[in-house]
Amino acid sequence: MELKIKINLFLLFIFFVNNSFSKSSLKVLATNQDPNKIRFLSNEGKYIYYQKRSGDLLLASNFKIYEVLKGERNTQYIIYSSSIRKRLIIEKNNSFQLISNIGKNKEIFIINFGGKTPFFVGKGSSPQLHLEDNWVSYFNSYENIISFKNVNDSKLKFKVKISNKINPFFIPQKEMLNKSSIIYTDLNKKGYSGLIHHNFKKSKSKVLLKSKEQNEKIELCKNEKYLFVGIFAMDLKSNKSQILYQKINSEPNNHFETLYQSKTNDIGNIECRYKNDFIYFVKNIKLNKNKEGFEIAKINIKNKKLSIVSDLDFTTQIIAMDGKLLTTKDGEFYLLEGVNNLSSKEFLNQGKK
Amino acid sequence: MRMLLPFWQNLWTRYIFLPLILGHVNLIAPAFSQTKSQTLGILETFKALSKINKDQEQKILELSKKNKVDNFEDALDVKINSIFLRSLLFFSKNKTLDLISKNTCNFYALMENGLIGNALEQNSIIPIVIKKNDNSFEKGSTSLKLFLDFIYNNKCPQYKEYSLLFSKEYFSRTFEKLDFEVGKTNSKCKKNHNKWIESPLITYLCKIPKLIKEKKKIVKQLNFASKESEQLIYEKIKEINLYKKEIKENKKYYLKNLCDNIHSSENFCSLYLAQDAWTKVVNKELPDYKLTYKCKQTLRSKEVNQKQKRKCASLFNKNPKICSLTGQLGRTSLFPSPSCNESSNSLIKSKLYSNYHDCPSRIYNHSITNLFRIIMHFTKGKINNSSLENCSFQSNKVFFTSIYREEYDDYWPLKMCYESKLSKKEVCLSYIPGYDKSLPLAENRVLEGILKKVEPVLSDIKCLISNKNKFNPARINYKSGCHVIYDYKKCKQNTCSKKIIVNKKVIKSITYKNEPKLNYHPSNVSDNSFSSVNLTLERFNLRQKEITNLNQLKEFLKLGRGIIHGVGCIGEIYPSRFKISSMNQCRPIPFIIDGIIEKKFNYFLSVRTAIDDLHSPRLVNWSFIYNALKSYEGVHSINSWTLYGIENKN
Repeated sequence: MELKIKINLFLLFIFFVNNSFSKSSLKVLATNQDPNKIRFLSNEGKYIYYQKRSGDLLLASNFKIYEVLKGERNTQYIIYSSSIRKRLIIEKNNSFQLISNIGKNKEIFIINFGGKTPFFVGKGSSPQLHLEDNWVSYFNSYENIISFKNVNDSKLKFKVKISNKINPFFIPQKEMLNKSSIIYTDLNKKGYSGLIHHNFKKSKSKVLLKSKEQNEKIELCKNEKYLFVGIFAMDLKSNKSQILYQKINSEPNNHFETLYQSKTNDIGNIECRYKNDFIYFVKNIKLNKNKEGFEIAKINIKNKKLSIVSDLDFTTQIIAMDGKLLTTKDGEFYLLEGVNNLSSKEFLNQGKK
Repeated sequence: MRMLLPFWQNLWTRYIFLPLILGHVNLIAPAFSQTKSQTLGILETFKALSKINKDQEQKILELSKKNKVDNFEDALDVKINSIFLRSLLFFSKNKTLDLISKNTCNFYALMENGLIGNALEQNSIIPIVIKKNDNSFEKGSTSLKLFLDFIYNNKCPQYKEYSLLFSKEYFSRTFEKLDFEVGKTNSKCKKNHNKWIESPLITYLCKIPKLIKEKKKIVKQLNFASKESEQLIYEKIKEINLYKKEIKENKKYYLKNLCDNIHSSENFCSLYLAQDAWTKVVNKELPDYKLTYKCKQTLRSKEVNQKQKRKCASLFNKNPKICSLTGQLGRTSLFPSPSCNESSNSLIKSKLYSNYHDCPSRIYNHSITNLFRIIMHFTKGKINNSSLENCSFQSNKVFFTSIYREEYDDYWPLKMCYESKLSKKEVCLSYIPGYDKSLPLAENRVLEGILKKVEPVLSDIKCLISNKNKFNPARINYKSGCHVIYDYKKCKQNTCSKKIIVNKKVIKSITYKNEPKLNYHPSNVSDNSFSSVNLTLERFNLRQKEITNLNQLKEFLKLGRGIIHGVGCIGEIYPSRFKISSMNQCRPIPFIIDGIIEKKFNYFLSVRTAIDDLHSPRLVNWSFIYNALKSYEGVHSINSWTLYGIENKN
């Protein structure tokens, strides 16, 4: 009897200890192989692009495996997607572990969504798809040039040189409004961030927005309905965060409505492509006893209601990947929104290296 | 008006305060108190008053020299002539006069140590009045030394002892026993200040900063000195050298601060109670380099003196945003830098030795920058005249020289290639970028060797390496010979434009193969020895141990002088600056951690990534670092954990 009581007490103790450590209610992204090998996972799991240690990029689909790109050992691939699901961008970084360089130009390829034949586009970094996945842009940090290229017609291409000379590690954000109109972020010689609209046909540029302080960054995100601009400070002590927006226009103007304003030092990293009427960003929240913490917040554009969608205490990035919204913490991928809807039949020993 | 107020205060002090002192102590010879002092109007200028005092002093000296006194055998008392005394006090600083009111003997000690009057020396002649045994008075003059001997023997015997303790023979032993405590609170600091002001040793201590300051002036005096005074000047110089040798910088500064602020404990304490790194550098509690390089860039000055450092400290405290915008070497690091407050909090805890300035964006592989900083920390290396022109050469040279091994020459990533005239095949030779006269693998030396094989050049050809900004083909230096010209404004990928010019002709037969591919940590189990980190550890007799959690990190930093280094994904270290848009997207960046601060249950680490300005460490929450390490571990080829503490083996 005494032994039974002792065992019960012990089990109770274990139960309380387990529950005293806060656990997230978020699900870990379901994969049937090492998630660190995966580079893109389509929503229903039909297409999985993953890489091997040998340096090859592979596609697993319909119970078959295809070689997409061959590379040397230590090659690292990144795949960029959009909500249009027509194409994907592959960024190939040779010597990923041998050369540490934030601004290094990498080989950029375009591939059909679920396809296995990539086409070389150019060399640069921060590639992105635009205008129904018919255009691709990328940035060359050594020449300070953003290039825009039409995927279907190689003759259709534009370049814009940014002004920045003050931050050698600056990466501009860019969006295409139409075939001849773009907006991008830049830094002037005094270090103020700016949002610039450039029209290639008219060869005209105008500043839509400028930061009030030199330690403020401007972020940009465009979906089918809205253009969002985030203004966040990069200083620990600063107490200002803002998200502005306007409806999509071929000729944007400098009148933005305020969607969100706060006296907290938010990280930002706004994401607006997952759902057209919602915007996601990383918000600063104070945990118990003033401990610093960051969670993913979501704002409904229609009613401006803010809600917190993560509970990891410390998460700082948002990844939109074909119907799933993810975040990472401590090397794990967590599903913020979307469904883990993989069938185990899709995965057949693809984790072998 | 602002200028006038201190002047009037000064004037009033002399004419109200003085009588109080003179009335209190019996310094004036009574026979001469009858002398009518000239009535000086309050409104007369300080200049006029000075002239009057000087003239009177000279007159009295001339008069008294007629009777030179060599001994005081039949003297009952000896006093200084009143007019001379008045002049002495007139030309002395108020703060010094404060000491006299505390202790009459201090007056004589002040004379002994040259802190009163105008250039008084031991052999200076001073006018005196002697009261003889028969109560008669005699006017005359004597040397200051004799006068002080009499006073110390008869009136202030303890000061004779102090004088001996601070003489050259006993100074070191005396000084090392003194305790220059500051006190961490305002009241303790004021107590310490007061203790020194009341101490009879204060006059002997205040001589030290005065002499050190005047060293240059004293040395110049040798040019004009007579044979008699030459010996005295040499003695003084020896004394100053002794002080410079025996006294540490922080104690020298303490004495200077104390003696400049005899009259104000608040001023004295304000420097020590300040919590910022900038003031701590100014008062020598922290090494100079934590302020100097930032200050040089902010003031755009090649060198900064103590006054400019104080100016920078004040500027950084009053305007913290300035550090975000200036202080880097050129525009070669991540912008904006942290604010002065953040940098200051970080630098107070920071252990990294950084007596130089580097330029991260000019080095293609960030691993080189990080390891260069680690090597400089453990070798305490110094680079003279860091400038934008030579910063990348210096970083590359130190790094590559440290890791080069002959047995790995085939794998060396930096090569200079040419076509051999014999075999018609391409031959590539290893080189280390930058100029060096003696290093065989230096770029200039390797190039000289190749040129002799492929071009018609003289056997003693010497190659120089310069920046395009400085290269001027019209100048004689550049008209002939061999030059390698780097153009930092034309950079593509890993190379900035580089031209080899020999006797004004551009050489195209020699090419560079320049991709500095290096494993920071081993990327393969079999490559364990051939990683830059392991080669560095071996070369400098260092060891590293894995740090897997915050407790181990705290322990490591608490004990010893080691620093921590690692590699992580920059999007997790600085998420507000680098966005991640895809799964497993990682831009690896090496970093150094050298300090930790706990604030409201958060642990902030003093961090410099390889793209940060060396003198602007950031405070980064441990959670960001941990995230970054875990993300990198996931994409690393052998899933390595990459956070280690490095320390000396001994």
